[in-house]
Amino acid sequence: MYSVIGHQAMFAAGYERVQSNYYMTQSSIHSLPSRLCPVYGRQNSWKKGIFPDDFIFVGEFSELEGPKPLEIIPADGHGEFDLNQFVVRIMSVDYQTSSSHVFDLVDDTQVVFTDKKSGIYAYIHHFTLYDIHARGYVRPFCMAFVTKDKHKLMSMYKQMLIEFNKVSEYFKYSNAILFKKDLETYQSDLQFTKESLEWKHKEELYQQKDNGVTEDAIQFVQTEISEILEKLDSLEKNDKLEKRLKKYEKKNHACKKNLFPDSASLNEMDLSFKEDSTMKSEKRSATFSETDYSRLNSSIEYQPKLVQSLNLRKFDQPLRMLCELCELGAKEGLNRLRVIHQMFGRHLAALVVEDLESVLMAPSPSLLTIGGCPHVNVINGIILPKETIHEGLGLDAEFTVNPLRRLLKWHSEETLDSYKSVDSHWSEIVGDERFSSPRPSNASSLVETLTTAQGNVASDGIERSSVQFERESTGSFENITFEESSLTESEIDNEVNEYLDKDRDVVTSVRRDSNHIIEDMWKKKRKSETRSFADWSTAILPLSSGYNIHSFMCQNEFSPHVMYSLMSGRPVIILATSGYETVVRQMVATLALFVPGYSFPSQSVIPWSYQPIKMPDLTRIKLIGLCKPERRSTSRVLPHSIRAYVSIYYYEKNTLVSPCYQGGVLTTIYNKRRSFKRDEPYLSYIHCELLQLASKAEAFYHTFCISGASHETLPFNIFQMCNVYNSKAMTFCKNIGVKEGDFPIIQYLTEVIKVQQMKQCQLFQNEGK
Amino acid sequence: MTESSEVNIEAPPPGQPHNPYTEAVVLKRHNDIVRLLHKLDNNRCISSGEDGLVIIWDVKSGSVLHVLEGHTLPITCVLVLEKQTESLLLTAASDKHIRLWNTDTGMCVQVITEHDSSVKCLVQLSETGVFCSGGEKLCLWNNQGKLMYSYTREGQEADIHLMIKIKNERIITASDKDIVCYGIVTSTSEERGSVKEIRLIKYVPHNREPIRSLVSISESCFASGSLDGAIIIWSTQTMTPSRIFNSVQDYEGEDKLYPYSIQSLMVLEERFLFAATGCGFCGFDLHTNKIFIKKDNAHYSKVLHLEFVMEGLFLATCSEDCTLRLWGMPPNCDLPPESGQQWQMTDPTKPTVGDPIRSLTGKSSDELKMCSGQVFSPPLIGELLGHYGPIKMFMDYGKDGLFTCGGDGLIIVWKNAILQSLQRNEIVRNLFYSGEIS
Repeated sequence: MYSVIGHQAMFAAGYERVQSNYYMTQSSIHSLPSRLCPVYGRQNSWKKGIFPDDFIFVGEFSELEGPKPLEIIPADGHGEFDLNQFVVRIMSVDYQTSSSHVFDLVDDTQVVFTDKKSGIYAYIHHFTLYDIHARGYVRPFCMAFVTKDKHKLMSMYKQMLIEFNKVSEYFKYSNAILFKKDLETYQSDLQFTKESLEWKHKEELYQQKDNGVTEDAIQFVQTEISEILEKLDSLEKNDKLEKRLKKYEKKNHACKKNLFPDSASLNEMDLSFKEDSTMKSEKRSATFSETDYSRLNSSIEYQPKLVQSLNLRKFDQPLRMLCELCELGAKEGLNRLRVIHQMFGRHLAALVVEDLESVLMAPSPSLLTIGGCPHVNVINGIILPKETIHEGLGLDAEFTVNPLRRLLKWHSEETLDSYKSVDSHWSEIVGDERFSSPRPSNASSLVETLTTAQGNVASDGIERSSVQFERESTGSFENITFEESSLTESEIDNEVNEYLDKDRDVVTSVRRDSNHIIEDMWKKKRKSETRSFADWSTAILPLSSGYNIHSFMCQNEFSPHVMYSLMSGRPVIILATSGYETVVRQMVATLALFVPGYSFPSQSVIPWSYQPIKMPDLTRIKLIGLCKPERRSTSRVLPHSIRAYVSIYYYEKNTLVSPCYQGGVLTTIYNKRRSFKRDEPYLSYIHCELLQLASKAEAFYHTFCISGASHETLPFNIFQMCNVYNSKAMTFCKNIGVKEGDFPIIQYLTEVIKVQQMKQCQLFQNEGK
Repeated sequence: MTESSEVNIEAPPPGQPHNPYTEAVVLKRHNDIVRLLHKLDNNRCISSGEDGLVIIWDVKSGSVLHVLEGHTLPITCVLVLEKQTESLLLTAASDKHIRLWNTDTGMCVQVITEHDSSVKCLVQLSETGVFCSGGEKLCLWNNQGKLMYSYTREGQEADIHLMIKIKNERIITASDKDIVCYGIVTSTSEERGSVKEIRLIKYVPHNREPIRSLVSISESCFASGSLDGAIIIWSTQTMTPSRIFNSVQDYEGEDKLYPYSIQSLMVLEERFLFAATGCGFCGFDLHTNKIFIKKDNAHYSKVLHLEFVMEGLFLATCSEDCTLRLWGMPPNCDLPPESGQQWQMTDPTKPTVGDPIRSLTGKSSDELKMCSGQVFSPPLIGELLGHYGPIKMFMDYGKDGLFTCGGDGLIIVWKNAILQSLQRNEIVRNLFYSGEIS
């Protein structure tokens, strides 16, 4: 079926003829080339701090060395922050409530740490791993998300808790398996020793050494161990986790050579993988210190040894590292921590808006995106109130004052204050019900709302469709090679996707927690190349869509007409000789902001190409930078037959040939440029205006297109029919406040949605065949 | 062609407000020149080309229904067998094979190799599916692809390249400058029962230049057009020319480009004969024996095909200059009055639906008799520009669109954006109510 889809370029968006060409040459602007203009980048809204951005670290209260940090994500994320002191502070609290000497399974505890004076806030997640060599068999660890934004911490607390819980699950689960294995080995060693003791007693050859290894002592230890084993057995077997770890192990085994983990400890683990397992067991005296991954499979036959001492603690040897305690779980857990850092490391506004936008984010065919940013989902609805983003990221772009706060149900200020501790300026929140229980009741209500809002989006079906879209997009145009092949991009992304792909089974699992949805969202975002506005607007980098938009608007009088072409589906070609490649690339990136539709973002926008444009290309390309041959005529790359259907910007002549824009919205956007000084607030403003347009397109889609209002049997010829249709559609649009000149935009936006929806269904049908 | 570069070629009106084709779908599947388009039915279109592929397209969605792969050399002709129990299609190619396909399944039913010579044309003779192939030889086949009779032509060097069927089981063939009439006779012999045979009826040699087009007009006559521009109306009874139109003395033109050559003929209502002559076109009224439509310089290069499109609202011509042009009177675009009233056609000169002659001249065919001798020159309504090679052929599907194929290997389906939008509304609405979209 694939080949059938692959070779048809399905829908060309309406090739409207040029009604009246718009020529404009700019001589008035005494502008410098844009590459010489200063770029006003994003200011760091943090006051100069001791650490630059949020970071995550993993720490341990080592019984030999005391509290110490183990892993920092990103590697030098802590900057000049004194991590050692911090670890001492957060780990010195004996948060374990159980004081009995009997071995007990310990639940995780979560703590919010705040230091108002220095403005440091942290989410701290304590968890315990088991080690046969450790005191009381326990090794206390913690993970912490350290930030300077207390609002982020409070509003994202639930999400963080869920995410960190998951990581700790990984650690603990694989640790428990190992621990159990260790105990069983030890148990058999003890049994062996006991038997040999009995035998030696009989022979009376055995001279008792001063190491306390007596039959009674052995018996005592044995009972203790069986008790522990009993408790471990009571642990729920997590099939999902086990399956995933096995999968991971298999993959690890297959591509061991290709793995280059970025942290030192993981490297060590890899080294240990590479050692021959049999060699290793010989090399190491301690029978428990095997770190072979195959232990999970327990395929190696074990030979019991004599126990020399009943005290397993060895003070002359370092304790096992995290990666040795958890093996694969550590790797998986640390990977997950990196994802968590990427997620929560963003600005709070981004997180909150993304949370709100999550319904829109899933790349369903009903989603309308402009410039890769979701605007409305005509089936799942629009949920963004205009003020939200406008205020949050917009006109007032000083992030230090956070207007989003009032949106948050959590009144973080009071909560924090009430837990201010007396004796020091470090204050902690311990013991609050909502905080310390691993699965707080509040969270479940949040989970519910998110799940229902998400609806069928999280179901497997959509998942498949997005994959299909990708496959199709690479397939149908494989014979055309552009400079930036989409294949290589997807290859690069493959690594990430593959890792993320494994969440698939989790997504459809019975426990549909909100974290799955967040993850899901995250995964989908990567795949479909849609980014929430909030996410993207907090990190506008060169060559990301919309970068430099402010100076572009200020320098080019024809901006509304270019925007109009893009928004009404008419391809825009920027022609320049090869010397201007960099500038054109940037210009394409800037203008990509106005390209609607998300299906083939990598193919509809091409930053720079040397290939002549052909008719089939017009079915997908919406914006392209085209290299003009210096000596030969332009028609070589831009044939005459194409020119009727595209808008062309001659960069060197600073001339635009395109239909003339006569609507209102884009002119308003253009005229507002002087009110802004930087990209970000201007972009927020543009986003809001486009959002309005998109919501009108949604109204048009529902009320006019699919309600059947557009349909009436017309017994006349095609022209009369078109006229009737046009006048009806115009009247409708006028009534929802759309100017006549903006009608083609509304029309095109709805067509984009319809075509997306039809394509999806076509794919399903083809799949079914 | 210096002559035509001096003359003024009409440019389409600004904005082309009456051009109904405002959306295009590009179908890229062929790897070489696409020469032929055939209508399988109102929903399916067959394209075939130099790459040996025959593709069946769904007209509405533009999706490929079947790719008929088998021929190794360019397809020379395609014939849809009519009135058969199965939907059968015949294709002949330069690889000297004829293939019989089932168009519903896309399977090749039969490969015919017996004739061992290249086949240039195919024609169906009877409802039973007996068909005739023409090339070096003339062969008769039944609908199973079984050879019934093979006729070896003598004394003629050129292959048969055109063939039409006329009444009484006769066929007219054209090979180079010659026109030959053959008859199918059923002879009964004791050994073989009744056998169909091909007999030569009449041989009409030596037209001035090679025949380029043959078209059947009615039971009593057919027309031929040749390279020198002559259009001859022949009587089927006597096989003699009854009329000759457009006879040009100095027909070779500069550099032997034959500026008057006839590339294509088309008949309307057994009365009007349209011809693609050189870079232009003309139309003859066979009742009055007068030329009534003439456009000498319709294109920059030779017109390859002409046909009425969009339910007879326009005459379309496609040309080697990579464009397809639409000719006719500006159609009636007036809005019907407010609902409740019966809408009356306000201007009777403006065409509505299904009156091609009125579309071209603004007069009905009856009115045309009154103004005999008047030569109309229909204005240019619009131009379809998109191919970057000659447009070899086009096929009209009314409101569902217009297929064009060309030397660039592309097929472009030209559609009306509003009609398509309405169609998409319909589809999406159905999907929406059936819960198939999310």
